[in-house]
Amino acid sequence: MTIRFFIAAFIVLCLFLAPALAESPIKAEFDAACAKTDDAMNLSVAELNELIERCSRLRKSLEKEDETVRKVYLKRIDMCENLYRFVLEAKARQQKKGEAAK
Amino acid sequence: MKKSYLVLLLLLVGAGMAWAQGGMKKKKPLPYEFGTVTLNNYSEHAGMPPAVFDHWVHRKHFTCRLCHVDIGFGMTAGSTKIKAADNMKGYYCGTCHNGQSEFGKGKLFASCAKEYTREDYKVCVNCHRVDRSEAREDAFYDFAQGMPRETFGNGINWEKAEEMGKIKLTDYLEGVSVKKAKLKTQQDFSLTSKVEGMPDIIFSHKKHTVWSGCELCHPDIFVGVKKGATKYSMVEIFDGKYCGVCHGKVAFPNTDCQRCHSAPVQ
Repeated sequence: MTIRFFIAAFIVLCLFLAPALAESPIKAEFDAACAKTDDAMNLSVAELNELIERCSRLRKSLEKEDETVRKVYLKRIDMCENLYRFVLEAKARQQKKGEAAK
Repeated sequence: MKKSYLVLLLLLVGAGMAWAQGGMKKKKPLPYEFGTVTLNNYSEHAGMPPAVFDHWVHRKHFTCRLCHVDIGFGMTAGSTKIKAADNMKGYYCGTCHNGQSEFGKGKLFASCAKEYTREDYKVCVNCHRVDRSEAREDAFYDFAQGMPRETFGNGINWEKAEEMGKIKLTDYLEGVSVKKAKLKTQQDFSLTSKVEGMPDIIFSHKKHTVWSGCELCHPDIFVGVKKGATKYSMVEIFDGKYCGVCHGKVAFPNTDCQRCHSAPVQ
């Protein structure tokens, strides 16, 4: 009787936790990829490229998610990735100008 | 003195041209209507009145960044295409309006439901409003009474309100926002006015980064990192581009010249 109770309780717990657990990898990966937007200007070209790559991977993994999660996170990734790309391009332009000046 | 009149005339002509491009004269919103957004992507199809969103109710508690970056609301009305199902899953309005989130002395009402009773409908009309709500208007004027005044927009100087500690804006929502290192304070900078006699612009980069973050403006609204890299005119701003994405619709309007053109004339 006790074992049955624990099994039932475990199943119920899993059912409750499932949505949260299923969502957390996306949120965790998004957090890791987009935590540096406020510091983007101080990142190196290599760091920016790595974060852009991470955003692209995250975008692909979103294809399996439901419509709402996809819509919300695609918009958030767009903003974050665009900022990284924008800073990267600005750095490249600056570097070109510096080289031309030499 | 004559120069000032000329500048004023030019601005009025610019504003007039921008409005004229819209096809008809826009009605100046009343203070409590300023910043109100009507969303009707799916509401009427679902048999509900459009959702009416009051910016002032939310901006007295939260930064622009929290909703437009972390929650993912677009910057133009209807661009997010929010569905009732999205809210019910705990996204967009449902991030906070889920019937569970504590706010002030109570819980925030849940946004959207598949089925609702006549009693529940009273909650629906918090957003899906048919008529103007006198209670809302009163609530606005009650709130505005204690706030520092300004002439344009909704008559509240939000910047001063924050400086004076009248409002304390939340910028982080557990489970939604990204934990970030503290943002480095940005330096304000000046932009040269294109019109002779018009004071130069002092752009509050500090205030804008704290309220909006970096990614809300760059690169979608301003494509340049370097000062002066994005070229724009007052006509474009009055047309809702660049500064006009927020200023004029939600933030203080562009007719409040001296809020931006504030540098002393040499």
